[in-house]
Amino acid sequence: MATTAESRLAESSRVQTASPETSGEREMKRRHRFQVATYLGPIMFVQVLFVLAPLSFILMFSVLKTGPYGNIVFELTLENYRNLLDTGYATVFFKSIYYALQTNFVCILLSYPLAYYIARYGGRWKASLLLLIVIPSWTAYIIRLYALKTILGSNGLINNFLIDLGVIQLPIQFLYTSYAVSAGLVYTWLPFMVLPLYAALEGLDSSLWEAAKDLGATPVRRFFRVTLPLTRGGLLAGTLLVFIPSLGDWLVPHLLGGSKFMMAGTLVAHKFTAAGDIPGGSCLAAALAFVLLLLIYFVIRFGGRESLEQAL
Amino acid sequence: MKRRWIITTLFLFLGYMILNLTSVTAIAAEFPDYPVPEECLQQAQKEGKLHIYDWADWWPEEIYANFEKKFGITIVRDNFASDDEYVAKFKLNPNAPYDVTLPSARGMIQLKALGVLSKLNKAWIPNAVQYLPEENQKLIWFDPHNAYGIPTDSFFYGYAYNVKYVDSTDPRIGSWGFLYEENPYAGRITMLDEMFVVVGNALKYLGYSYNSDNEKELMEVRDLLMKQKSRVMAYDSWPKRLVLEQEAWLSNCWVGDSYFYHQELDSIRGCLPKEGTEFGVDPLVIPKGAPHPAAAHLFINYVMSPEVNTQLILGIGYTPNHKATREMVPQSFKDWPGTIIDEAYLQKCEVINEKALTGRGLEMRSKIWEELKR
Repeated sequence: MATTAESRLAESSRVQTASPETSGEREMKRRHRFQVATYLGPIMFVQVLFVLAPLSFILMFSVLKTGPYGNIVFELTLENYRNLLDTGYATVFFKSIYYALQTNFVCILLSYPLAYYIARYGGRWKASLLLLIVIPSWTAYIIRLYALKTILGSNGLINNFLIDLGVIQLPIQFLYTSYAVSAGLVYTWLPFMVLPLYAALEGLDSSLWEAAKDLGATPVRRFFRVTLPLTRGGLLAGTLLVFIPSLGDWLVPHLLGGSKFMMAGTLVAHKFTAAGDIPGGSCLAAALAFVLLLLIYFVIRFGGRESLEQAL
Repeated sequence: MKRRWIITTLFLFLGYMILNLTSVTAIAAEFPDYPVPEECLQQAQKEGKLHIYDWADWWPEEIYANFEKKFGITIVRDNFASDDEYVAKFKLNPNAPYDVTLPSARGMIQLKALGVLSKLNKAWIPNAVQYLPEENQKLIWFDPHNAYGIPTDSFFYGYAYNVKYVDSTDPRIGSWGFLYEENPYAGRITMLDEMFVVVGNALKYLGYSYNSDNEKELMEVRDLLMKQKSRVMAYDSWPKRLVLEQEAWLSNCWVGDSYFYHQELDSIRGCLPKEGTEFGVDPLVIPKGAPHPAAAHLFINYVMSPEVNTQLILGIGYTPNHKATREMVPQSFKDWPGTIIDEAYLQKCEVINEKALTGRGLEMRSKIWEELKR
């Protein structure tokens, strides 16, 4: 009798002591889950709505057929993917990759000294100098391209300046050439290379440079043995941020190239509009996305995880 | 001294205005504005709103503003920059909620094939019934009796040239050859960034049908365009800035645009090529998903009133398709090439059809265009 009472008491006390613990734990867990949801929820929502959903639509369209007037016929086919092997498309893709690589390379050449000097010698002007790099991005991209058009035009700033100086007699045709396309791409995406490089250089301990100097390293050697390996993350992050958008760019070849240069983005736009072939265009877009995913995979694989973390 | 000047100018201006007014009222009596039935007006005012989907930066803004003022209906506008963009929108959402849209002939053919247009109630558009001419209707094969669309104007392609730089005595002016073949203006030429137009007009130049789907003929066009490309500065569908800043001297355009450019730059001339071109119309249509159909009919009737249509035609410089407007436009406008078209020229033109828009015709045009832009 007593034992049962005792055991019952013990049981009830155990229940009493146990129940606040578990509910507390549950509370903690719930709060944790709530926190994760509030922190990640909005961005997940945006990602799903504006990235994942359109991408899945594109993937869906890419395996459908096109009707006589360009209407989408809901029948599955792999015909579009087979058409991708057409050599004409390969030329356009390789040309885009070439433009993107070129943009990336020129951006690196221009950004390294810029970021280096701001990080090392910027002093109290650092914030202002960085602001100067970012400010143009506050204006819409298309407006900046139109501004560039007036600068490059044969009646534009550069030509008029050169004519006034007497360097040239007749205006040089800059606009609507492949040079204008390259220049436009570099101009547009340059800040995306400068900023991650700056972040990487800023985080570099300057005593490392001093140590290298004390040990007798020349400036060139110092750059290749110390600076470059330690800022590799920023470099790869910048590469991702510049290479991806410039590969898919459509406006620059359209506005500055006078629609005479076809890049991958232009081809997708042409398929969607004039050719009236939405499934075909979707298929090209999916292929382009695939190429870019492959690229990101290789950057993570060979550049290390830190590069992506630095980019974010 | 200065004051007297001001007063004289003021009086002259007043006199001019009065003269204008009297002539306008005289014409207005001849060409009345037929109002919509009471039933339509009441329903439209109950709807209170009108969603328009049309070209960006084309029709004069007053046309919309005056409609809002006159009928107390709020207009919400959404714009597109090309027919293709327009058609793609309806392909992806056949029930897009627009009341009135303004495709070109090609856009309308595609929309009709997609089945997204609703039939018009002609009793609610008395102005269109009164003022649309018979003869053009025969050419508009895709919409007999204007059952689905009311053409507000017609358009033809041609080119604009700047006589300050282009030798206006060149005997080839007047032909498509001047634009497509070798000439001394390399790097100063713009072509429209429109696949069907650039290919179609080249076909006309070579003496073939605008809608040809014949491989041999299209390959000839391809060779012509590939050769021309090195002389082309840009493919641009709205080369206004290039023309007015005199960067481009020879510009492929809707011939009406050349009139428009001429208003701003005196040395611009227009040419309607003798070989013929596409005859197109810009119809107002009502899509199936229209939430305010009565307001849509009211707007179409308003645009087809003689006064508003004249205002529209003078604003855009295109060919009037309206019996009264043809009379009401000033002589200086009638003298511009391509504004008033005679029957003989119309016979040389073609309306775009399914031979170019579908199947082999479309495939080969796409291939040519992709190769040209590569």
